[in-house]
Amino acid sequence: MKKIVFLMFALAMVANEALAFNTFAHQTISKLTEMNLNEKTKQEVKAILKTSITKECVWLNTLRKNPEMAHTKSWHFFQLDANGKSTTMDENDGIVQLEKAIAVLRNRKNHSEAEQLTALRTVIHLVQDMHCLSHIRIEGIEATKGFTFRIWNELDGKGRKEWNQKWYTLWESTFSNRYTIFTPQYYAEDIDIYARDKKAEYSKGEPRFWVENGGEDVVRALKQLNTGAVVPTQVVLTHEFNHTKCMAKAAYRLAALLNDIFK
Amino acid sequence: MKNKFIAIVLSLAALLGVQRANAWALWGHHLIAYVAEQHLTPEAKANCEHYLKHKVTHYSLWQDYWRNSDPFKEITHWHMNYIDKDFNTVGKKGNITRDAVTQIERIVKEMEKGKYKQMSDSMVMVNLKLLIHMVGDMHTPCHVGYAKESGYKISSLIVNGKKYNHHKFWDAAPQVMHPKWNADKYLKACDTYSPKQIKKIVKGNPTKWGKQNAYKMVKTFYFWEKGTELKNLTEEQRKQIDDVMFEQIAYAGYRLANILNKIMSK
Repeated sequence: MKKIVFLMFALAMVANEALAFNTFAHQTISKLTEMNLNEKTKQEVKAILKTSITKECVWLNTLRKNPEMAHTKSWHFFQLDANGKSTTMDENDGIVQLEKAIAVLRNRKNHSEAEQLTALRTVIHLVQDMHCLSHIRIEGIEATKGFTFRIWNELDGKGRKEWNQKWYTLWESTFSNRYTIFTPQYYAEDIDIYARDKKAEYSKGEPRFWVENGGEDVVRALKQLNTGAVVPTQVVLTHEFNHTKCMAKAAYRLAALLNDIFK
Repeated sequence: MKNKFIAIVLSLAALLGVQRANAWALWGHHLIAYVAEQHLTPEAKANCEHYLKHKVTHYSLWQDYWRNSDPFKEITHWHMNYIDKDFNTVGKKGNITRDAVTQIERIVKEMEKGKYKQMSDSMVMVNLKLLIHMVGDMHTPCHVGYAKESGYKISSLIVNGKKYNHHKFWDAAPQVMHPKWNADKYLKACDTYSPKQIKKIVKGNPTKWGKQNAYKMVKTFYFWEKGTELKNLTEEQRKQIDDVMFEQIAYAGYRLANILNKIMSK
């Protein structure tokens, strides 16, 4: 009985953890990634996954719900040092796990099919997660661990209304939830229209650079949105551009990485 | 006597826009723009996407999000279609022109015949965002601002234990009536008119469309008795609501496409 109660409690704790992007956003990024894979990569990816990137993109989220795999929770977070650099070699950090998975795929001839599958699923999910700004932790900036701020809006002649907004919910789902009436494919096409002029620029670099790049976005966002802040709606609305940009970067970078691995 | 007084007060409140006028809310506006997108010429679609940097659906609710924020506070008044007792667009409250129909007419006039090319890109973008939203708004059943002497009965509907007045219900109707539907399912239900029918629907101009809407929407005040629960609506009542909703979404979509094709096609 005690074991069951403990397991239920553990499951509840895991279920309440921030999931980086929600499933719809992950699927959208995956669709945009698929739009940018070359034919060879598409075939190699299909051969390993036996299905599409979109169908496998939240596998690591499902895994973390298993109490025996609770230690993988930390893999969804990416630590930067006080200078905003990705220097960690901690096995519990997402960047280390991502680099390990990339190494497996680059050396896939020496790994079993099961190992390749786990590695590819890990790469797909963690490249996406690292672009969710609430999953980047910066040493010395406590707010990057999460906080609540207030948003206000004036109601026509009826005074001001305020409500709470969590930092992680903003990046995880608040913006992308506006488009859930559409398919991930449609939303992906919409993001592509916005970002495609910068595709080449966004696709450059390696994963640690990408996290550092995200860290710069986090620092900029925290100048307006921070613990105890009370901000007007329009300030929050301007951050949607950042959110769209992050989703685009995640997709273009993941595609560039996979095209490079499977060339 | 008392009921008539209450109805007049509520009509006046609606006319003055004291209620939080969000029109269709998220789903409705998205769906109208989605229908419109299916009927844009390739040139108009590409041109709109060039200026918006997104699909035409993306900014369908922009005017609501920004309505109370500097520097767009004036647009908070451009959501209704104000009409007189003869159902003609009044378009004014006092000295200020604040009406969706008159603003749509103004923007079309300023942008048509290639005149938009004289505008800055950001001005074209703002105008497109306003058109996309306001054409949707003017077709919302609860956004006809009837004259105060109309006395139409406004009855609330109970939805999941919450009271939805006429305005709140029609704002949220697409989500309330079919919460599990997505855009494609709605498209199938709404976008059912033949090219010949669409040609007839888009005939005229926003002022004429506003008048048509005003006549058509009177019936929506009488679909249910006050205090009826949504779950207790009869099949016939549900169909009445769906028929109005599907028609208005389609009409708004076709007319929005017509305007955008007129302005933005080469």
